[in-house]
Amino acid sequence: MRSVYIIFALVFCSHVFADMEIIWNLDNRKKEATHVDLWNANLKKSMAMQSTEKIEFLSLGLRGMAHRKTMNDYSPEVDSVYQSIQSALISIPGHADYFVNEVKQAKAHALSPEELSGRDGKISWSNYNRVRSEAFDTLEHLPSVEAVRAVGDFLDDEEDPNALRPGDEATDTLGPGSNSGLATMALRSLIQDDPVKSKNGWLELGEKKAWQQWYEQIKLGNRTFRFEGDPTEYDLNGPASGQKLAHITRDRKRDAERQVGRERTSGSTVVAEPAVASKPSKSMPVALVIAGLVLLGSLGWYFRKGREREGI
Amino acid sequence: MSKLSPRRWPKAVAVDYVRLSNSPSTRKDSVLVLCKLSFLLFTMKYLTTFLSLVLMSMAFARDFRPASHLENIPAYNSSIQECYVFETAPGVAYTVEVSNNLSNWTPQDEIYGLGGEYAVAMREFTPPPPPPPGTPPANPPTLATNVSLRLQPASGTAGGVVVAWRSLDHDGPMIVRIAAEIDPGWNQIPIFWNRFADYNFYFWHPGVAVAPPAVNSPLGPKDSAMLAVLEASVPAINQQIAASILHSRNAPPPAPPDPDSKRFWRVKVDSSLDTDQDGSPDWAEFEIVARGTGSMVPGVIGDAFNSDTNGDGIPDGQQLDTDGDGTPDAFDPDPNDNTAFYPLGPIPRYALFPIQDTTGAGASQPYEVLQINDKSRVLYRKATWIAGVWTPLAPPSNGSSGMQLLAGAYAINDNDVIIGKGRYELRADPEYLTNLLYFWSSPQAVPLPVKQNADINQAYAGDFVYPYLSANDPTRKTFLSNDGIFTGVTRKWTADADGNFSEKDVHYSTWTLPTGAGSLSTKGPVSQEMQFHKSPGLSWNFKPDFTPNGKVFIPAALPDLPFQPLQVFATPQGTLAFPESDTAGSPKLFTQGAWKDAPLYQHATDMSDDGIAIGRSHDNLIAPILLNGKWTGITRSAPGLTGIWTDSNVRLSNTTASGWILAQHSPVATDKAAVLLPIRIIESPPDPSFLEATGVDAYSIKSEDSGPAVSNKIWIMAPSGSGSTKVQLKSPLNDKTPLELSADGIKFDDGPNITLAADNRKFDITASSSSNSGMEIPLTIKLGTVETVSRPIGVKVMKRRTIKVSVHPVGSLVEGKTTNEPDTVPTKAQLDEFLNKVYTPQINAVFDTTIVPLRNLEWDKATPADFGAADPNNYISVGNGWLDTNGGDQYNEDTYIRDQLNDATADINIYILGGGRIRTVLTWDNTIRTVKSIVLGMTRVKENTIFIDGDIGWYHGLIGNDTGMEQLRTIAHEIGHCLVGEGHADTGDSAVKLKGFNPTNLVQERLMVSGNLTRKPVAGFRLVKGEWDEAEKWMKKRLNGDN
Repeated sequence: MRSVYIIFALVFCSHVFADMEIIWNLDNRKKEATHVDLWNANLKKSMAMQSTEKIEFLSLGLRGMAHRKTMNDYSPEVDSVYQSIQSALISIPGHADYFVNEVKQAKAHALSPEELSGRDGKISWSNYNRVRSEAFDTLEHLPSVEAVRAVGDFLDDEEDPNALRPGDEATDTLGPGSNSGLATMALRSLIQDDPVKSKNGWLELGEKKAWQQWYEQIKLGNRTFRFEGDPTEYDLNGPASGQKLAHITRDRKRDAERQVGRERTSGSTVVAEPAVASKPSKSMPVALVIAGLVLLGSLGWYFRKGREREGI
Repeated sequence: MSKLSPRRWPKAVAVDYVRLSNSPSTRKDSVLVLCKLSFLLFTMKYLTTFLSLVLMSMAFARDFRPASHLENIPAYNSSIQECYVFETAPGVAYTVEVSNNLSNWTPQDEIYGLGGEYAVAMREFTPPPPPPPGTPPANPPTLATNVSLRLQPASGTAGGVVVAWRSLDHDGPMIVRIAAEIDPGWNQIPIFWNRFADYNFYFWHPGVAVAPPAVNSPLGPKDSAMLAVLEASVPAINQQIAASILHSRNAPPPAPPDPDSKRFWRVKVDSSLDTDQDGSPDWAEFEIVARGTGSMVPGVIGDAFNSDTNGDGIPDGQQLDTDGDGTPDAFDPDPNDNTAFYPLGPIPRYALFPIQDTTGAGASQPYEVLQINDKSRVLYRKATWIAGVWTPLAPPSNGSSGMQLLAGAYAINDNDVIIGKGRYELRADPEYLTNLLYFWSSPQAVPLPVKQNADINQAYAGDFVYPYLSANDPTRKTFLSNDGIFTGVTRKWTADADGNFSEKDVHYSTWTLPTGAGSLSTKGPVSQEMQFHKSPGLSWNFKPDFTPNGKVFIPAALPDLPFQPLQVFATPQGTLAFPESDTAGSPKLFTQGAWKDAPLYQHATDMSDDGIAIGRSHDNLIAPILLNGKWTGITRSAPGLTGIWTDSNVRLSNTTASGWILAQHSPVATDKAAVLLPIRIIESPPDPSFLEATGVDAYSIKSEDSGPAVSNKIWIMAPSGSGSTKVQLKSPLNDKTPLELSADGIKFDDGPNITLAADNRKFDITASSSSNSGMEIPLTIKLGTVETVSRPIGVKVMKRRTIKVSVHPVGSLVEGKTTNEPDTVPTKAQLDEFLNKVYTPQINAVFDTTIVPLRNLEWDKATPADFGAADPNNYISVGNGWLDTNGGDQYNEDTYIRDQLNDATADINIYILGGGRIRTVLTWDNTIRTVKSIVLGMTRVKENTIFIDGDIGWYHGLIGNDTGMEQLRTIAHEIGHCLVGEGHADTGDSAVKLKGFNPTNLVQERLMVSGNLTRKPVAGFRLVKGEWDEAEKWMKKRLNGDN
C-alpha cells in the first residue's frame, strides 16, 4: 500500500510541476524579457508626452509589470521597470485625479440620454466597468497620498451596477462589483497597516466596513498610514508631522486606557487596537514557511483521506 | 360576462392623434393618442382624477392600435371599477403604463394578446359589498402574473396536452406536454381567461392536435411554479369550460388609491414580438394558422412558439409569407404590406463624385444637367460627362447656311443614344429654319434629324413643343427607351409652287429611332396623348391638358390612375406607378386586378431594378434613398459629405436600372451635379461554415444609428503582420467607369491600389506592417479622374496577435459523494481551430490554448454565510451541484476556483466544470431571494475568467445540436465577453447595441447575442465594427504584453 501512496504523491507532484512548467517555460521567459524591454523603451518615449497622455500610456506598463510580479520567479528587471514607471507616474501632479475623472465620465456617459436612447432605455455598463477596473488596478500601484485620497473617496460608493434585481434577466457576465469593493482591494495593496489581514482574491465579510472606518479616521486626522515598503507616516496632506504623530499616539494611548477600563468594568475580553504603525514588514521567508506548513498539512490530509477511503 | 353600464367614449373626451415619428414604414413608429376626461366626470372625496390614455403603436400598414372603450366592470373583489378596456390581437404584446405627470411612466401590466379584451381599472365606481358580520378582514389582494398559453391536444397515442408559452424566466419559447386531458367544450371556446392562484391565465386553443415535443423545454423556477399551478387547475378549468362560461376578458384587480390629483395611463403596443425568433412576428403566425394560408413550403405552419415546424432546419420565418407578396416574412421589409416586397438585403453606401466643369464643355448652361443613364453617362443640354470626361454634343451639320442651331439634348437611353432638338433649314435660306428633333447614335456622333423619309418635305418629322419638358423639374422630363422609342409631336411641311412652306398634320405619335447605321426613324400610330416609353410593352400617358388621371399600358391599358404618373415600373409583383408629387396621391401598385396604395413608396420619384428608390426630401431627410424599406438621408447613405452636398438644396433627380444616381444642387444659378455610385462589399468567408466571420462589416449600417464607431460606413478589417481579408466589390462598373481604390498603408492584391472596371470583382486587402494597429483609414475612391467626396468605406488595421488561453478542467470533490469530473472537454486542436475560424478573419487574432490537466477541487462549498445573507429557501448548501456566484466582491465559488488555479501567463483562463451547473444568486435586504441559472457559460470580465458547464449532456435534448460543438460555440461567445465587453446584442445592454436593429433573424448573425438566440439553428459568429474596436482596446491592454 505504501507504494500506492508514493505513486499518488508522485502524480500529485508531477501535476504541480506540470503547472509550474506551464508558467515558466522558455517561451514565457522570452515574453517577459520582451515585455520588460518594451516598457524600458516606452519609459523613454513617455518623457516627451504631456501629463494626461503620459498617465494613460504608462498606466498600462505599470499594470503589466505589476501583473508579472504576481508570478513566481519573475526576473528582477520586472521590479526595476515597475518602480521606474511607478515613480514616473507619481511624479505627475493629478495622476490619481485622472483616474477619478475617467471613472466619473464613464459613468456619466453610460447614463447619458443619447446612450440610453440607443439601447431601448437599458444601460450598458460594459465600458464603465472596463474603465473603473483599469482605474483601480492602476491606483493600487500608486503609493501616493493623492491616490489614497482618490481611492478612499470611493469607499462609500456601494452601488453595484451589475447586481441583478428582481425581474432582471439572468446574464452570463459578472462585472467587478461596487467601487467600494474595488477601492477596498486597492487599499489592501497600497497600505501597510491593513485593518483586515485577508489576502484572498475576495473581500472578507466586514472588510469594507473596516476600511471605511480606517479612512474616516484618516480624514479626521486621527490616524496616519504607511505604504508598503516605505517607513514614512502619511496623512492626507503628505508626510505626517512629528507633532501630529505625537498627538495621535497620545490619543491612542488614552483611548486604549479608557477601553481597558471599560472592559474591566464590563468583564469582557480585551482586544488590542492595532498600533499606528505596528505591523512588521512582510517577508518572503515567513510566507514560504507558512506555505510549506500548508503543503505538509495538505499532504498529511491527503494521505489520511486515502487511508480512510481504503478503510485502513 | 354581462357588461355593466357599458359606456363608449363620452363626448367630453378629446382625442388627439399625434404622430411622433416621421416615417410611417418603420416598426419604431409610434402613434400617441392622448385622451383627457374632464375631472367633472370623476369627482372623488379626496382625489380628483384626470384620466389620460396614451396608446403607442407600431404603425404598420395594419393598424395595431387597439379598439377601446370605457366600461364599468366588476373586479374580483366584487367592487365595480371604472375601466379602460382594449381589444388585444393575438401575438401582439401590450404594456400598460401609468404616470402622474406624463413624464415618468411606470409599467403596470404586461399582456400578451390572444384576441380577448383587457380591462385596466382606473378608479372604483362602487365599493365592494361589506362582508357579513363576523367575517375577518380580507387580506389585501396579491398581484397576479399574466401568462398567455396555447393549449393543443397532443397527437399520437400518448395523449396529453401540449402547452406553449413565452417563458417567465427568460422570455424564450417554451413547449411542454402535460398529462392532463382537456374538455371537448374547448373546441367551441378558443379563448378563455381565468385567474388561478397568483396567475392570470390567458388561453388560446386552436383545436388542432400537434405532435408533442420530443423533450419538454427545461423549466426555470418561475415557469416551473406556473406550470404546477396550471396542472393543478386543469380540472377546474375543464369544469368552467364544460359549463360554457365564456371568459374573454379579465376581471381586473381594484384600482389602487392614489394621492395625486391626476393619473394617466398609456398602452404600448409591440407588434414586432417574435417569440420563437424565426423571423415571422407572432401576430403573423397567429394569423397564418387562423386563415390557413401563408405557408410557402408544405408542412410549415404558423406557430409563434416553434421556430421550425417542419423540422427541416430552416426557420419558419423564411418559409412563411403572411402578406402574400412572394417575399418570406424573414426578408420582408413589412410582412403586413404586400406592396413592400423587395427583399431585405445588403445595402449600399454611395461614393459621390462631383461633376467639375473643368473643360468648359457644359459651361454655357451648366445648370442644365438632364439625366444619367445606366453606364453613368450624364446628359447635359450640350454635352455628356462620364467618369470625368466631357464630350460636347456635335451640332447638326446638314444645311448650307451654317445657321443650324442646337437647342439641346433632351434624353439619353442606356445605349448612349440621345435625342435632342435643333433648328433645321428647310431650304438654303435663314428664313426657313424650323424646329426639328435630332438624335445622336452615340455621344460622339453627328446628329441626324428624326424623320421618316430622306426628303423631309415628303414625310413626317418629330418635335417637342412642350414648355413643360424642363431640365430642372424632375416631373417634366422625357424618356428615350432603350429600344429607341419616344413620343413626339409630329409635323409635316409642304412647299407650294413658290417655295413657301406650310405646316400640316401636327399630331402626337411614337417614333422609333434607327438602329445601327440607319438614318431614318419609324413613325408610329397617331395618338391623342403624349406617351412615355420605358421598355417594350410598358408606357404611360401624359396629357398636355393636365387632366388628373393617367393611364398605363402594359401594353394593354390598365384602369385609370387618379394621378398623372411620373414614373412607372414593371416589378415582380405588378406595375408600380409614382405620382408627380407627394400631394397628388399615394403611389399605386397594380396587383390582383386593381391599383392598390403602396405607402412604402410615398415620396419616391424613381427606382432601380432592385427596388432602391430615390425620393423627395421630407421629414428632415435630405435627398433620401429608400434602402431596405427605410428612407435614408444623403448624409447617411453617402457618409463623410461636407459642404453643399449636405444642405437642403440637394435633390436626387434620377436613378438607373443598376442604381447609379444623379444628384443636383440648386438654386439654378449655381447648380452643380454629382454622380452617386452604389457600392456594396460582399463578404467572402474563408470557411463556409462560419459565414459571418469575414472581416467585413456591411451589417452595422442597417441599424437606425450605427454610432460613431461605424459613422455610416462599410468597414473592412485589414490585417497587418499576417493574413488578408477577401472582399468582393459589387458596383455597376464598366470599362468606361474604372474605379480606383487606394489608401495609405493598405495593399490591394499586394499593390498600392486597384482599378476595378466590372461588377463583382474580388480582391484581397492587407495592411503594411508599418501601419499602426487600430488605425482607421477611409478608402480613397476615384471614378476615372474624379475623387469621391464621400467616404463610404473605411478600413481598420489590426495586427496579428496571439491570445493565450488556459483551459482548466475542474472536477468537483464533495465529501461523501463521487468526484464529478466534466464530461465534455475540447482538445487543444478542436478549440484552436474553432476559435481561429471565428476570430482570425474578424480581428486578426489567433488563439493558443493550453488544456491543463484535470484538477479536482472542493469548490462546491459555499454557504449562506459566504453571501452574508439569510437563505430561507435553502438555495445555498455545500455540494448542491451548482456553481453559486453573485458577482460582487465577496467570496463566491467561482472566485475560489480562480484563486486556486489561475494561470497568470494566460490572457484568459477557462474553467470547465464537472458537477456544477452555473447560476447567480440574487441577494437583497440581506436575504438570498432567488437564483438564476445561466445555461452553459459565464464570464467574470474584470478577471478575464470564464466558467463553462462541462456536463452538457442534459442540454442536448433542448438544442438538438452536437453538444461538443455547442460547448465550443459557448466558449467562443464567452471569450467574446472578455474581448468586446458585457451585455448582448439583442437585450439592449450591449456595449455595441446598434440602435433600432431588431429583426431577430439578422441580430442572430452576431456572436454576442443572448442565450435564447444562440440556440437557434441560424445563430452566427459575426463581430461588428464596434466590437472590433472593443477587441482592439482589450488586446492592446493585455497585461502580458504582445499588445
